[in-house]
Amino acid sequence: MSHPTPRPAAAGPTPPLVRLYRAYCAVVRSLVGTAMLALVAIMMAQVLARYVFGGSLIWAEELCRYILIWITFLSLGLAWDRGEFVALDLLTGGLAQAVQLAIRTVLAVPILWFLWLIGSSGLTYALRFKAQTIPAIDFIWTNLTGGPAGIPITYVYISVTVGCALLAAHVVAGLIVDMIAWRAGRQIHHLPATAQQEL
Amino acid sequence: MTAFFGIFALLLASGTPIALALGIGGAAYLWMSGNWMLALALPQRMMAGIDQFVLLTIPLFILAGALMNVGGLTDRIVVFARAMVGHRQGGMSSVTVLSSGFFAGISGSATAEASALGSILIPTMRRQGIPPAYAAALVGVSSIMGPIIPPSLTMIVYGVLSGASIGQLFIAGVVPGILLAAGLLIYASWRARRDGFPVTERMGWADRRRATLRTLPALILPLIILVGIKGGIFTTTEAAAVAVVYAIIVGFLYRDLTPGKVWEAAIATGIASAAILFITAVANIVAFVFTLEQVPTMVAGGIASITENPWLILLMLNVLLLVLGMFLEPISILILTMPVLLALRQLIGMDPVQFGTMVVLNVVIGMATPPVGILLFIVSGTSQQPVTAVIREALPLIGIALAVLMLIALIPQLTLLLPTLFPS
Repeated sequence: MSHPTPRPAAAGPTPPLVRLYRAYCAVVRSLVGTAMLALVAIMMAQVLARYVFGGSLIWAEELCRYILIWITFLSLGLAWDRGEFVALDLLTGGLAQAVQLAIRTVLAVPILWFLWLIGSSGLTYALRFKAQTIPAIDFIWTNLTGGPAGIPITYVYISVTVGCALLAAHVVAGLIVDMIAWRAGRQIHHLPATAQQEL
Repeated sequence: MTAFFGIFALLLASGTPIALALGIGGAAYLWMSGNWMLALALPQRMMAGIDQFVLLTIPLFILAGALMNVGGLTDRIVVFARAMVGHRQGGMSSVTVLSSGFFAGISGSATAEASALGSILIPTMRRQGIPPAYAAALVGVSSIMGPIIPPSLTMIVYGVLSGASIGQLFIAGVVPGILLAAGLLIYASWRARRDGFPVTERMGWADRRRATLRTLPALILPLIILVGIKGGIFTTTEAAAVAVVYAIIVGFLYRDLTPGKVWEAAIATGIASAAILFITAVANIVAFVFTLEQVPTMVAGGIASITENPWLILLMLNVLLLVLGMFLEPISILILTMPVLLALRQLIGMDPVQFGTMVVLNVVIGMATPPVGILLFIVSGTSQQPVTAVIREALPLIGIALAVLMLIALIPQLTLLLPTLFPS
């Protein structure tokens, strides 16, 4: 099964790029894991609040939705590396590696165009909401400190741009790594596009 | 519109992931049709597609299933199924079908089911002399019970999009799930007798009792979910969180789970859910483009103009969904076709719950049909068998699933009896 491990089989000291990649993976993984467990905790607090304290957490639903949005876009790059994106490789899977690489290079153009489109218009969209704050966080903050936190909802909407940028970086990096591997005569670590969940 | 389908088909055939092929096709269409100023609305459409509270059930139910899996419940389900039917005619192949049925009660996703059960059952069947391609096909097609027997991610998405009650859909899936299991069991034992597959050793009563006790938590979970939702104790979304906590408690009670395993499962689940939710987000772009072009009205009108016979409409609808299912995965199909589906449902006057169960079963069967049958690809990978060999073995099994689809389309009682017995 595939792992988001760096693909070049480097001997000797770890190249700085690989170290950077590992650090990035570790950061995203910790954020995603924490966010997932936070979702479970908030939802359970919600159920408990209703049955034990007879009240409901009015901020829970909103906060959970925002956490889920961030989990989605933050994980896009790692999901790409793990082959979680379903694709049809029945027609291309049997072709020679050089041909496969060529096709993937051509396909990267429309993919990057789409990600640029969504990412840049996502940024424009997010920046329009600088004046609108997140009610759920304001509510919690007011209870804790007496005043609203004033975090604009831009910080939720910007996740689209972050996600597109990460995914674009992974698409390009994956292609470059595979090209290097191919030139060095190594078998391309081609991830079959079937979901490879180790679940 | 032809341009959209042309671009989409070309991208798909050349190996572009479905999510991106959908997005590129939709955006390109917007550009060509002179609606480019609407491109700024696309991120907002994507956001709207996933900014829904009930979609939290997707990562949560996946996490619950993953925790039960790493907590060793998958192995115990297999042992339990072996204790029940391993010594009978079908041997390990019957065990496979039964295990899938039980696993479906802790998992709402067919892909998770195919990968979890495939890694255990395909090697076991192979050791017993069962042809690996057949073993793989059996696991792959049996996995469609995952989204039919509650909980079900596909039903949740259907409920979100159509407004049908998710609780009612869940309970309506029980009988079709049992029918699927029964049909596959009959085929498995017939096949075992024909080809002389061995049976496993009969287990003693002490072992059977032990197997039952150790599997009980997995068997109870669907009941907790159904009773909790139907009884109004918690919402569907909360039910998913309860399932996670239940899985954690059970895992620690049985000493199979460690904090490290929980942490790893949480990360893996977050990443797997991201891919699903991204497709949901992007499919929303295409749905937006379709609506601009009034495609749903045209398709529904087109079908209605061919015939007014509800049975024929039903048949065309199911064929349409099966064809889409060959190229797309369930969630994008539901998002793209929902307006058409709702219009046609009104036209033929079918109950929303029966209609929903039928549509969900139909699109899920698409996961096991070539060329984009993700379940077949997963089991082909696990079994190291060429996907064409797996497809050949899968065909009769898919036929059984289609027969069940036909039954629930024609006989309302199969889906509606339980929901009427237990109204919300």
